[in-house]
Amino acid sequence: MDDKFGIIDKLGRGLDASVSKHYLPNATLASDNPNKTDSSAYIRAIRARLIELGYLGEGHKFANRHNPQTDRILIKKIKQFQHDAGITQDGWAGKLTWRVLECLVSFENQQSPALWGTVWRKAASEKWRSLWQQSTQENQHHIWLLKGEVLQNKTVMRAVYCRLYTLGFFTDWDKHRIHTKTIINPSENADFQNAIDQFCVFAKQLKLVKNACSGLDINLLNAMFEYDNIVARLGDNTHFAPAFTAYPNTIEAIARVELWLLGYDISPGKEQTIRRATRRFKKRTFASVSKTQLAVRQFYSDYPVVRLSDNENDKIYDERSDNRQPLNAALMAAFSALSTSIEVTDSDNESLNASVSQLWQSKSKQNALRTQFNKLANGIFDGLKRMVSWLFGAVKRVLEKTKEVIANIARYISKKARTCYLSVVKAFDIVYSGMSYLKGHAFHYGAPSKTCFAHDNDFDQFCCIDSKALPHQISFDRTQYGFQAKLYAAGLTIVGHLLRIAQRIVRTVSSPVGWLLALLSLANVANAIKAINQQISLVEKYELDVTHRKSLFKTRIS
Amino acid sequence: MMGKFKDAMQTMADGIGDLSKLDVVTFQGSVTLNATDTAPLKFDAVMSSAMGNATVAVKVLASTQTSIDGDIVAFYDKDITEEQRLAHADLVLAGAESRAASIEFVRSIVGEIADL
Repeated sequence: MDDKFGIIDKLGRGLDASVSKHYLPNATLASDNPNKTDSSAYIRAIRARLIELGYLGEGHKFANRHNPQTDRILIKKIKQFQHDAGITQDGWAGKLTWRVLECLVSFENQQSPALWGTVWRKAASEKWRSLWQQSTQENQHHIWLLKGEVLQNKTVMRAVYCRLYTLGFFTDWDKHRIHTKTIINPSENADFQNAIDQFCVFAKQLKLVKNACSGLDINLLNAMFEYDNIVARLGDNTHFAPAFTAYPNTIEAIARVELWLLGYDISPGKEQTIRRATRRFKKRTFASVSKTQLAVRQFYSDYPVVRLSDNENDKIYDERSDNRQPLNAALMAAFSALSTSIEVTDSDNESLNASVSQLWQSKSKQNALRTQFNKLANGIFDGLKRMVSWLFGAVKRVLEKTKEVIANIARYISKKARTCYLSVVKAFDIVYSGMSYLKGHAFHYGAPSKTCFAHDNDFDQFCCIDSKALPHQISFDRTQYGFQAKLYAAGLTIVGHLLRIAQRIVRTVSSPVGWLLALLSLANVANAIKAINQQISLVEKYELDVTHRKSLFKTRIS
Repeated sequence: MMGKFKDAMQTMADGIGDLSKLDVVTFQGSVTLNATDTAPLKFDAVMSSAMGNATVAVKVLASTQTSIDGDIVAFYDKDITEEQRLAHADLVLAGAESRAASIEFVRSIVGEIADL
């Protein structure tokens, strides 16, 4: 028994050592839900966040996970991220790593940098948390746990860069996109410092910070990551109007983030356009349309109440005129209201049920609901149509590009087929002629003939030569007979190969992994055909005798 | 075609029993054949025709017996001409090749059937 426990102890120590050397993941840091950490969706989400922070290149977005190299790179980058964030480096993207990533990237959750320390280091006690919640804005920075460290943390600086980029504080969307080699120290990157300064002014305008800030500090960090506050302030027209005048790009970027969060077909960051076709006098023309404009228009159509609440001072979006500015304070207020989490109580459920019942009683509202569903169905159908037309276009383009290659392949196949056909015809004739050798009849050539050749069943050979036969007659006849024997040997070899092909086909059909075997057999079949061709070429003198009465093939093939 | 193939296989199967030895005999006699394809000749008929001629005696010009263990016994008549000798040598070669091809064919077929 002691020995058994000794082995278990040894095994346990080995496992511990493997975990400590990071050969095995640390299971204690893993998520409570193993399905969550193992799923490919989770890996994709981790990868997307690392790309967003510039730890992974853009190319990894669609990387095939079945490539072991991909996972090795991912683990390496997770370790780098963990090192930069100051958490345990085990390459295992468990619960803690996920939370840190959420803090840095998310626009919805963990919006208080002040609480990040508690999440990252698990240092905060309940006492500290209550102290923080009771504190006023003035003294909050005094109880900041990691005040100095957070601003020096590389991951935080990357997150700041990423946030400022997404909110449009950089001058060039393409040039300033974060990547693995981006310099994230403001003192060494003038563009980054400029973006921070721009945000300072923006935050001051929105009264998110009280004093004029000089560089990145805790208050500015809070203002930057407490994103809901920014949207809420922009909901007020007194803040919106000057901000929109000074920072139109930022306002559009914020609208994009909000619409993306609400599930519209748009992504945060750089403005995107799509090509729309218009038909005029039977002529089809394409024009680029801003996706932001389209999404805002769709939002107004989905939430008409927003438009109704606009007052005269706001620049109201009008469907009849696309030139008018659709972004306004009311829109931002609507975004802010929609992002506020609502606690659902039983009474809410009851009122919802009542509303639904009421909806069904009214004919006009039923119609409105039906229209909405129709719109939804049309949207799905349109998407499908677009996908099919794209696929059709892609196939057409590929075919056009490879037309010449396909034509060449067709020519090659037809040439091979002609050669093969000739081989098949010859092979059949060889087998047919060869088999006649076995009949046991006497062979004589020419009429009248002076020699006679024969063999019996066990290939004992007999020959009778006329004493008056001339040498050239004997020579001709023996060559003919020798050739007949060669045809027999070649015919037998060909039949052997054909039987082998047939056997492979039988095996392929009867096997449960038929298709796999079929693929493997192709190579063998090709070899058999090559061997048949070799036999035919060995009988060099052989030509199809189409004039023979018993010839199977009556037309000469060339 | 299939009937012919079946006959050939049957013939070959009959001969398997005596594949251990290969006998090649070349005769000299009076032979003039005018037969066509419609009436296949049998060697026995040819020999009886040769022997039927009283003026020309049928004699054995050459004979070779090859055993499977490599022993070869050969006999050549002293009056044999060069062409007749070559014809005999060709017959030995044809017999050896045909037999080897048949054995190889049977071997491969048995192998394939065993694989099935």
